[in-house]
Amino acid sequence: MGARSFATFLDRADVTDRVLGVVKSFEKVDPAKVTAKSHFVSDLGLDSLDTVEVVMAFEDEFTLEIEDKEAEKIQTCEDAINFICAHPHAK
Amino acid sequence: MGERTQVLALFKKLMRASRSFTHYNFREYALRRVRLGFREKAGVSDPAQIAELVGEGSKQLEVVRKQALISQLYPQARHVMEGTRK
Repeated sequence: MGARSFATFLDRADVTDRVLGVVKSFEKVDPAKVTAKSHFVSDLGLDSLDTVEVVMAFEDEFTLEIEDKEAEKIQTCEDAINFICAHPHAK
Repeated sequence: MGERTQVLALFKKLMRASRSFTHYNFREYALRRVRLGFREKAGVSDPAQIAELVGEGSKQLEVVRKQALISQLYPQARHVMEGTRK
C-alpha cells in the first residue's frame, strides 16, 4: 500500500462498540433494542431533543465537536458510526 | 437557518451551559428545566410565536451562562449524589 496513513482514524469495530454503548446507556433507551441499524426516532422512540442529547454524548465520548448541520444528519447509530470513522480528530 | 435547526441549536447551547454548573442541585435543576421547557412548547407551530420563544430562550441562555460562571467561582464540597468519582 502507499504511504498514506490511516493511523489517525479509529477502528470501525471499536467505534461501533462505543457508539452502541453510548446509545444503550441513554436513560430512555431500551438497551435490548439497540443495533447498529437503529434509528433514534422510529426504532428507539426518541424525539428530536433526545437526539440532540445523544449527539452530545457522542461528542463527549469521542472528544470532538459536531456542527449543527452535521448533527442533524445523524439519525441512526450507523450515521454516527460513519461520521465518527470519517472524523480525523475522533479519539 | 431553518426554525428547527435554530431551536435544536438553542437546546444544545442551553444543555451545554446547564452542565457547567458546579453545584449538583443547580445543575440538575437547570438540565431538567431546559428539557421540560422545550417539551412544553413542542406543539407550537406559529412562526411568530416560535421566534418569540427562541428570543426568550436566548435570554435565558445568557442567564444560565452567567450563573454557571458565578457558581464556578464559589466551589463547594461535592454533593452526596455525585459520589466520590473524579
